[in-house]
Amino acid sequence: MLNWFRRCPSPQRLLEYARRHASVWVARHVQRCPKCRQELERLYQEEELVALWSDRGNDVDESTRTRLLLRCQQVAREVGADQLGDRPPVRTRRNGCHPPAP
Amino acid sequence: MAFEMPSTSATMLSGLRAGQEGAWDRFYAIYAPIAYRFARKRGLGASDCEDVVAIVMRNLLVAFRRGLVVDYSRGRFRNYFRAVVNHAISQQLKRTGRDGELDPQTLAESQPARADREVARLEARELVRLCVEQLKATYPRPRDVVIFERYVIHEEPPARLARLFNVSRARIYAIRHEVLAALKQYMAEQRAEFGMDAEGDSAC
Repeated sequence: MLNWFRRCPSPQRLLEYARRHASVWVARHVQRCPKCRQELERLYQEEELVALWSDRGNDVDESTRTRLLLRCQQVAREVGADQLGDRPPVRTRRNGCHPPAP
Repeated sequence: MAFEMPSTSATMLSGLRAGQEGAWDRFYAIYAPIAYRFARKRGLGASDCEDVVAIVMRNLLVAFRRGLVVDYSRGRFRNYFRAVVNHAISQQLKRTGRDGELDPQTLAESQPARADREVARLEARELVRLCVEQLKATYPRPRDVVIFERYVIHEEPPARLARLFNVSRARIYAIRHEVLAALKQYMAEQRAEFGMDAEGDSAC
């Protein structure tokens, strides 16, 4: 019985444990085995990455993202024109040209 | 935590100040959805939220063009960003005649420490999203990405997937490992490109 607890679980079993914590003997083994504890720590970090991948809660859909990007690029063009003064001057008949409207 | 983002990239901030188009496009990809989410959370409608994003980006563009220097003694860029977003939301609420609607919870969230954590969490999520897109577009074995998503994201039993895709169960576990390794690699590259491993420098 004791030997059974001492044997390290397979990588697959450890992964299943990291995801579900559904095995009592793996839990007991991990408490005693620094190597498996370290591996489990690495798996937990991967699970955090997985959680970010799958985090769809309150998400912004693709069409909104595209609209936002286009809107931002439009704002950038406007700011660029305002800040750098590269908007073409508007010619008038009387005095040649005048600065662009703000 | 593996995906901790210690500070908003000093490199990225320099790129924004220099007006690099690539830096701005990536900035929009990460921060526009964050600003949008905050505005949604305050109860604004979709088009008002888009206006908030436009106001935020306009203010930031102007600030960076004028050589914005983040005063790290007063907070990180994230705090500054959150303050700009809150200001834009307030402006939009006023414009829509809803400025009397104050939610104490969102006010609490605007406290620097909480704002920093919240923006950091959303930054990490957006960065992963960018890298997942990149991975899906370029991974040499697209079928493995499908298997990965079904096994890891949708939690389908590996035995069933092994039967369905005619691979061994061990291969399913190996695919998980390989795809995550590739994703980590993309993350590392993005972080390096953004300079995300560096703490904010004094120039920002």
